[in-house]
Amino acid sequence: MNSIILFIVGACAGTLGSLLGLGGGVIIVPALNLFLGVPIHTAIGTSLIGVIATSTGAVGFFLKKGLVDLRLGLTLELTTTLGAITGALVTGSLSPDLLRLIYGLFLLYIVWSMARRPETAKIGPPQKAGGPSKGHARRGRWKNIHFGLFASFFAGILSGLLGVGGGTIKIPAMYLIMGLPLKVATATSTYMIGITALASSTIYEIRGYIDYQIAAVVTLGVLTGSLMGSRLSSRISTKALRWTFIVVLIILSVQLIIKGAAGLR
Amino acid sequence: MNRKKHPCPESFTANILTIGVILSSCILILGIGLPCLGITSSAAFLRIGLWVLMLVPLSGIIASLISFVRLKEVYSALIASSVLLILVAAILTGLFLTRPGP
Repeated sequence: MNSIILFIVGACAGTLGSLLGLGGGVIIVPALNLFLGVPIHTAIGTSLIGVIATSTGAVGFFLKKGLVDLRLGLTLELTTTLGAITGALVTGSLSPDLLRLIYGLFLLYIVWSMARRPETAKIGPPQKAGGPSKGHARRGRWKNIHFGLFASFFAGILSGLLGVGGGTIKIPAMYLIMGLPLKVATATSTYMIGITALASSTIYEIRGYIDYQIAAVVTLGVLTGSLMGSRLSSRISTKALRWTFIVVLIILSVQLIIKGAAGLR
Repeated sequence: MNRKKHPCPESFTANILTIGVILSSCILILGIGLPCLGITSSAAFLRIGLWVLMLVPLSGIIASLISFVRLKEVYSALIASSVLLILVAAILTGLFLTRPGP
């Protein structure tokens, strides 16, 4: 397979992921499956490696800025990792067509959540995550932690099932229900998606659903794209980009739903 | 009084993650670049590079755990070690189980 195309797919996913606060899986999986003919299970397994790359590439910057609530992230990871392992185990028993259909519907959900998001979080100095190392993690410091744990478990299942980061569930849960500032919620979610993807990618590895050749090139593309995205974030209008991305996602989701439904008949 | 200053968990974790990303990127570039030099056995490099990348979040949690223990944050350390245990179990399963194939 052409390495240059794979690198471009990864770079697009990394750039858009860091600009729009996504893991990049929503770009990698449809691109690999619909346009490059990679089997959907392998595309998902490969995408999970890309999600780890997006997270690890960007989170160092967020941590140094004090935007990641490390203690909350780890607390929510207790249920997210369990959900991710569950999702990855379930995927093996689903047919590729059913998986395509579920993926298409999930993309429509992302379109809906992106369209009603108030503003994409940009990285800046204010709204710190309670101050790094100041104070100890205490029970009850965060609002609705039980709901957060439940939403994280659900996000983990989606991540393991579809090879995405699950930020589209975690960010609204942390921002709207748990009362975290949007920037902190986005940065904490970026930190979490790497750990979540690690948990589910091991299951995909056991089942042989990770193509190392494809994953390596896509990963390098993602890492390059994440760096580009963080540089471009101050120069590009994220609002225009978001709406362009919404249109692309609608086209991809319709294609996946049609292909999945046709195969199920 | 001379009190030893510990790095905060956030900056310590960030440094570990950055080192891991640079290391895995170097191995992956080597794995992709070797066939261009006529060396065909680059699959091992790709596999190692991707496993290094996959282990970066794990090393981030270990770094956080070390910082929490140093700062005597018992609750945070317990949480971090629980997540670590779940991940280690999943990784060991991934490393040592035979592949049934797709």
